[in-house]
Amino acid sequence: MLDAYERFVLMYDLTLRTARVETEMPAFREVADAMLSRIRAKQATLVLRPYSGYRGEAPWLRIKDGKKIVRDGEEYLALLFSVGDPRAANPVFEHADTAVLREIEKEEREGKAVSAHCVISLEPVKFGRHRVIVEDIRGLGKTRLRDILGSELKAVSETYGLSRTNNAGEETATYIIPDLEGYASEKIEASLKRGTLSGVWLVDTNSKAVLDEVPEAKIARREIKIDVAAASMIPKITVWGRERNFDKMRLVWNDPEGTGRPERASVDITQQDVAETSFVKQRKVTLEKPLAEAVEQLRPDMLTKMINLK
Amino acid sequence: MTKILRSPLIFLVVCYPGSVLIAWIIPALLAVGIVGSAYFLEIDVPVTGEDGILKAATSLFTVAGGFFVAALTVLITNDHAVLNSTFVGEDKPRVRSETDPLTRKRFLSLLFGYLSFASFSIVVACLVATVYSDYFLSLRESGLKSAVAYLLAYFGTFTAFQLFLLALVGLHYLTDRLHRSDGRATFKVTPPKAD
Repeated sequence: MLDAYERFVLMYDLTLRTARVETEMPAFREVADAMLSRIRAKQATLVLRPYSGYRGEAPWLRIKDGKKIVRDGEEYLALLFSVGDPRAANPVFEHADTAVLREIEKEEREGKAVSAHCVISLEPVKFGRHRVIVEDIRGLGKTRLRDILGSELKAVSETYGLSRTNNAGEETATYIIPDLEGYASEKIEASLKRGTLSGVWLVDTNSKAVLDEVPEAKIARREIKIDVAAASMIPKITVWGRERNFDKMRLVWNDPEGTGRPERASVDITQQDVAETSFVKQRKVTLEKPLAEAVEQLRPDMLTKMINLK
Repeated sequence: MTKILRSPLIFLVVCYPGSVLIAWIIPALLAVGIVGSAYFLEIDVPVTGEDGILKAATSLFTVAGGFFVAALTVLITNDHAVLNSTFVGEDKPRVRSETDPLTRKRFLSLLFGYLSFASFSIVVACLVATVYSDYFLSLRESGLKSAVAYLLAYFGTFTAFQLFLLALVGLHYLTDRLHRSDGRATFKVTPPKAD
């Protein structure tokens, strides 16, 4: 259950590029203004794909609130993401003494909502790369955040006519593509050296083994867990996994300098060196006043605490 | 006054990706390789006379200097949009100690200005060396003079290779980069300012 006084936040890098590579895009400060104008007009919404086999409405993502804030001379874009899920179970409260349950029924066109605060630095750390701190909320993971940001940046590009001049001197439309990457300053190796490894999984996401299978059933992925405590074994496991066509490694470990929650990372072992891969750092934020699962507006105290983690 | 005289050398304080490698490290390694192999293989390079290296260098760098001045003139008189705009991407070139963004036109003007200056400097150096060549050749058996000769040969070779590699940077712009898109995407309609 989500704690009302404690929230975990994740540190990402937001990378921005145009659909046409080798093209420089306008400053993110200018793009942020355009995003805010869409948020204020309540246009920043993305309807997701409906659940397969479910007749009800599809879930939706929204940027409910946004504003520019300045802290210690640095400018940030604060965004409040939310997800509405019509299929999610109704919230229920139990009375401490009577044990009576009180269920809150969803009404027509309503979905269970959660929201996540997000702060994006408007000063790039390097070309097209901005620091992001985002509340870690189940239902608003990296993929969904990337989807809503991508949808908004595409809408902004189309609305304000983002274009480039090609080699023939003709103006062609383009759009901005965002991505969220692990905070580049923290490598898995550094964190593992301090911590204790609690789980290593090798995953074969391309498994196509079909021999002697029921026709309706297909193997989607093959996964094995390896019990190992020594981080020094990881390179050997990586080599062993590559030889057996495993393409991903999932790691779970406890970092004494972390938040108390296990750290997690997934690495593409066909492309990356596990030790050298950056992972998404998480930090804990403690609030004086309770914060509901979903809010209508950005909470200034939450934003201040998040920025102070930088 | 000294600022005017130093102007052709401003290019040497322009920071851009690969500047140290192109302008200093590769020419230095090539010069060490050429002069070193001439020393160890005991190659007797003709210095003076009709077939001498000083005469050949004088002719080559007179022509090269003329080409660089011509390129500079074309750049100054050209009003190409890509040429007039600033650089795109990461690590944009900049003149050390200057904060204003550098346009492609100024970068290329500084480059061809330095190339012209370096070419004519080599020509002048070759002419001076020709005047003093008989004196140096008469002392070629002396160890000290021999070391000085190799040092001069090293600096001459280094400058020649530096000129060649920097000329390639200029040619990259004249033959390719200026004929491609500016590489910049902009909004046709300015987004409204928030707050």
